[in-house]
Amino acid sequence: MSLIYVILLPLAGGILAALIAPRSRFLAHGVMLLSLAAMGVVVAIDLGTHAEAMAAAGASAGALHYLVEVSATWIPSLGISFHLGADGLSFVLLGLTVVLGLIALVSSWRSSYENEGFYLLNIGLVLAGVAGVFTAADLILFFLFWELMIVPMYFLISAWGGTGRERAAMKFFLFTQASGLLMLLSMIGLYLAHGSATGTYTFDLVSLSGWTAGGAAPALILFLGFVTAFGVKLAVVPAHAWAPDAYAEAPTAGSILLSGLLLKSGAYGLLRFSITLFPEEARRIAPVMLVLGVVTILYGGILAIRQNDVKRIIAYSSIGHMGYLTLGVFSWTTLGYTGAIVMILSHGFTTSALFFVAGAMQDRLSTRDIREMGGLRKAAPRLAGLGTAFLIFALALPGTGNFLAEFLVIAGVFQMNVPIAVLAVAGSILSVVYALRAIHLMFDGARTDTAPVEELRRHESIALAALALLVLWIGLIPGPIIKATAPAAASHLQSVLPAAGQGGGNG
Amino acid sequence: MGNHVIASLIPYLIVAGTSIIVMLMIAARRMYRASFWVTVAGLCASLYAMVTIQPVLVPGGPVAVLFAFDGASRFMGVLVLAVNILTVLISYRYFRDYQDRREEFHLLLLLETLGSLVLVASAHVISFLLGLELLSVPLYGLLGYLRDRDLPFEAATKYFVLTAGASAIIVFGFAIIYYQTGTMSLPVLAQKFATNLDPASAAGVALVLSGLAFKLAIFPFHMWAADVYQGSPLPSTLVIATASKIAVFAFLYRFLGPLLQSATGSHSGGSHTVYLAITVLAIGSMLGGNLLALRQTNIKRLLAYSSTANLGYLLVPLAVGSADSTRAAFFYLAVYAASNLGILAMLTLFSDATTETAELESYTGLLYRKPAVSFGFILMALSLAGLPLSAGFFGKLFLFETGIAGGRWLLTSVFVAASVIALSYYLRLVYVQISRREAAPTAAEPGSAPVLTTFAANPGALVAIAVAVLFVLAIGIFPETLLSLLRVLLKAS
Repeated sequence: MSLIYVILLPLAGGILAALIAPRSRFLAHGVMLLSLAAMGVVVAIDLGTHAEAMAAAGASAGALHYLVEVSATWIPSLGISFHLGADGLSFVLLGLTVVLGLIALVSSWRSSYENEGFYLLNIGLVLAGVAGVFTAADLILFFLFWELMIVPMYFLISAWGGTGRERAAMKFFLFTQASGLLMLLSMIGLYLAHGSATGTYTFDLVSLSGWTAGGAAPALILFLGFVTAFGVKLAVVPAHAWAPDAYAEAPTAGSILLSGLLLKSGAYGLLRFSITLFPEEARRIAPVMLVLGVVTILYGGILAIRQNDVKRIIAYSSIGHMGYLTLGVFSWTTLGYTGAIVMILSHGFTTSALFFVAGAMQDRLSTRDIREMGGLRKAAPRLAGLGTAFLIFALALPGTGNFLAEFLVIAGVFQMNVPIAVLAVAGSILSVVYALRAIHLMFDGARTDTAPVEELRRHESIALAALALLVLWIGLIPGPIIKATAPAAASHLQSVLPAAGQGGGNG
Repeated sequence: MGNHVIASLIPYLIVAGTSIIVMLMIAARRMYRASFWVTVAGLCASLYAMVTIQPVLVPGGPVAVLFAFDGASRFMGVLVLAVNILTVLISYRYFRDYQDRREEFHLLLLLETLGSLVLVASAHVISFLLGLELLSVPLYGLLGYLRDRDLPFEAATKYFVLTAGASAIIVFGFAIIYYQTGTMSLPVLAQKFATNLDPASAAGVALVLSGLAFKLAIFPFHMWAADVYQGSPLPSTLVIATASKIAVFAFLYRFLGPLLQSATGSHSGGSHTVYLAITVLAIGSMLGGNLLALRQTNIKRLLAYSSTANLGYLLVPLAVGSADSTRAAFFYLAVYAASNLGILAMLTLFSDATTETAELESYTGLLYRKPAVSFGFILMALSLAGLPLSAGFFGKLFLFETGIAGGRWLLTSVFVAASVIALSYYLRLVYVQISRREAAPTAAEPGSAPVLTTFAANPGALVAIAVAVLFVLAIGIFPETLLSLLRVLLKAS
């Protein structure tokens, strides 16, 4: 049952907040905050109760090993069931959802938006959708939640976005929806192939996992349908065109949710669906994905250097980091997977913090152009200090989760393909360049405008400091994560997934 | 004729009787409200009878030759009646302040309903032609009901000239078919064609098909739709967008469905020709309708092209021709009707016989002024776009599923591509409502859309919207209910 609460809590919070908002802005935010806190408590309790089972699941090399499940019949005539299930990986990502949901909420606390009720409702819907995506164990249910997080995100961008919002929102929606429909076709194809071969027509992930459709060719096509959808969500080159616009034009909370959670749902989809359903095909396509991954790293890095819009710098940096994630997933080594999962967490925290800082600066300076900034270190030391810290985190300073993730990924890829690993290392040099350039232009130098800049408020500083601690915690005490993933170094991929969750549990 | 035959005919007799009563009432004394209530009561009684009475027909009897009172006709009949009841409800407030004669609208609507019901149940060319004319002739009146205006007059004239031509083509087609086969019974024809479709009969089928495509505004026979939608008064637009489409589509299914029914998924001889024709029409409609809808700025015109595309989607299951696909088609037709009804009812909240607000621009920022109404509007648009938690999603899902199961890869891929194109204009419907007006445009500015000011409290429209919203949500969350109902209903046929 707890999984249903995880989805219902943000949903109910959003609806309640939407009803209260016209009367009291404060109360509406409070309700939303409480519902997220309650969601966090539910996740924490689940983690606590299942910590041992999680460790045990890591040792047994079975396929999907859900710790908590909810199942009910829904559309029996098509073999669709309301089936939710969560393992370690799901719980870690649910934890990430709670944290980033809170951060998104805090980010918009100061600036009062028009029609805040609808705004909060959309945030609640996105979070409910994301929580559903991380727990769905039925393909159609997964697709449903997948869409549930896209539609309110479209609303967030198109109602509260920047000047280019209509175009950006439309682009985001069409890209994700078109690829989503391909995934839906693949799901149906898999359903029919499985049904005609085994006689049981079902969309259930557990029944379908490991079963690969008859001949090699159709399975590959079906697999590509899934990979396209997830690749678009991850913004892997060449399916990235929507991402910079959407990041840049979305309101701060939208950028945070987009980069911290929606992107990660693509990664989760790759791990949980593409690879679980089509292990053979995933192995076959891995070399191609490695090349795409490294191209994404280099492309994101090079374009990030050339941007002057602070949100676009973060956007391209984010795209580049997703290249590492792709490398990690398709490196087909334990190190690589571990790195990918660490990357999901640390990148989620770092990027949302960066968008938070960028949003705060945009609110205060009314510009996103880094050439018009400068000298902020004197004017707003806390803002500048935290901003600098996160930019340095993003360039993968040793000691941070980002460094650990990149290191593990590159180490994993190195075992498989040396040239790709070398290029990936070259890519991380690019991140040094753009991060330092941004720090220099934004915070150092002389300030041309003498108007005072408002310092970060206390709740903003606390939120950012908490994120910084989380990133450092992942980086400095990686023991739990590595220890949890190491025993699962069994040859089969699925055994890696459940164990991965243990380390980042507190996230 | 036994008692059971009379019983089976009761829903039809009630509508016919009501139309006579309304006509006599008009002749005696004009009472708008009274004729409204009589119409509503008659249609509701007919709906009740349609739902409760289990029709039984003696095979080969005089009625069974002309009509098929099966699950399909009952389902479609219920749809037609429901849509027409809601249309009457909407029309009350819409025409209330109209200065000319108002009561005839009810009469025409009743006759159109009867025509639709006959069409839905017809199993013979004669009953079909009867139904078709009974549907078309009142439609001329309905479309041009505001006869002192230019646009409705243009719409009615356009529809009259073109659709009369289409009717003539249909009659000609059936004449050829009759000459070749010597029968006018649809089941017998389907049997004959399945084994052998001679060239002359094929020409006849082609003529009938193009005539029906004309009535359904299927590409490339869609040219009239946008102008007629735009010009007609909203309740009449509703009729042409829902009831008439349901009825003609139901007949198309009855006529060609058995021919294209194939267990193996491959067609031979005659059925293959028809299959190819349907495929071409479907692909043309899906792509053509959606591409033309992209640039529309008037919601009614947009819906006209969107309905062309939607009818294209509905041809996909016809081409697939499995039991599952028939269910999926009926499911989708119900969803399509509900969504269209919802949006057009939404427009009547801001329009009446004297003013019409159908420009997309006018609805800028509706969400912030009328949140509840706007939520319904957005839900309908999302349902048409096929997004989850709305009935439209499952409608599309079932169509995809049967399309792939039937091995119609080309049709299904075009369907998916068309759905993506369609998203961009359905999203514009949503976008205008959630975007804020940057600056209030001056009224004098030429070409600018009128600001949304009128908000006619139209209780009938609110009821219609509530029904549509509930239907779309309920079926969007529990599609199994409608699906299993269809399974029971369509088993007999």
